[in-house]
Amino acid sequence: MKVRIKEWNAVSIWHWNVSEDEVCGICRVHFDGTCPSCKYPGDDCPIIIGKCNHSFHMHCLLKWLELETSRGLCPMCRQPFQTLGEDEVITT
Amino acid sequence: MSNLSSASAALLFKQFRELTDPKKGVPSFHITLQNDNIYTWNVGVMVLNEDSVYHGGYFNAQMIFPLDYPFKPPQFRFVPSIFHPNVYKDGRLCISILHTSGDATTGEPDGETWSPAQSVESVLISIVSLLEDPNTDSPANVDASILWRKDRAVYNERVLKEVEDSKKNIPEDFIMPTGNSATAYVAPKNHIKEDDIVDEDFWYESADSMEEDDEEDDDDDNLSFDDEDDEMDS
Repeated sequence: MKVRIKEWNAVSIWHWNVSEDEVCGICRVHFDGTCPSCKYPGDDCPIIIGKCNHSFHMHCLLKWLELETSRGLCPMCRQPFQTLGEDEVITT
Repeated sequence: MSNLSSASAALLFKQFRELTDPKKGVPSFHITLQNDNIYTWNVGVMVLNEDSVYHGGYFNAQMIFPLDYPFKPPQFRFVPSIFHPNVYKDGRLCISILHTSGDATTGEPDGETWSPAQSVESVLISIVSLLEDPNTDSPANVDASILWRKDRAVYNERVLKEVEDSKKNIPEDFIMPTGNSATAYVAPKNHIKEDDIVDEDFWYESADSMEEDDEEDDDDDNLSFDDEDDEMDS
């Protein structure tokens, strides 16, 4: 049997490279969803992973770190929050 | 509504739903909203540990959340105030989890103060643990603190009286949870013995009753109106 492909559509899905049931420690929304201020998931509402391995929506974490009362600490482990290098954040 | 407040409302609704869900909630807390306002919660605080002097009490409290929750902590107040080393006369609590970092007057370590990773549940659990395990290093009520350390019997007597008084706060339709959390918010089961049932067999979806009441088959909609009956039949 010969099959001639006349047309094909590529479909792809993406998700952030964190475990699927993980939620943002601040807004409790899944990472594949957005932070409460954004409408579209993806590059517009990225996640941020700290050297301490705790991850958040970037927008959520920045709102926290802007506050003096955060003292620059990770909300989860209270260590000074330091970002993993950009090339260490892998999207698939 | 600004982005910030709609975000906090959404997060609070989520936590409210979870805490009032009989399967997910913590039975020590009975939560309702004040005037349907998601930023003002009325909380009945109960100690389920039967050995505790606070057991059996129902302490009314109010939690007020800021519009920028969870970036700022909620306020918590017992209404009326209770006699406790860490509770002020106006019902507010001296507990580090509700304070923001960097307050020189409290000198609390950053690790113990508010963080947006805290939830209403974690706050309430801290508070109910504080009831039984006061922190006498930073007393809000010095008399209570001294009594707790020096004369526990008198302290307990005073608490017992407040526990008795607090029972009038139990809402009429509310069933106090027992130590067994599985039964916490479940309405009491209907303990009708089978012998007591006279002519109601046709309500039950059992093989026997179906045979006896063939003409009632069309009433399937009315069968199994009570969970317990389903269990009995299966």
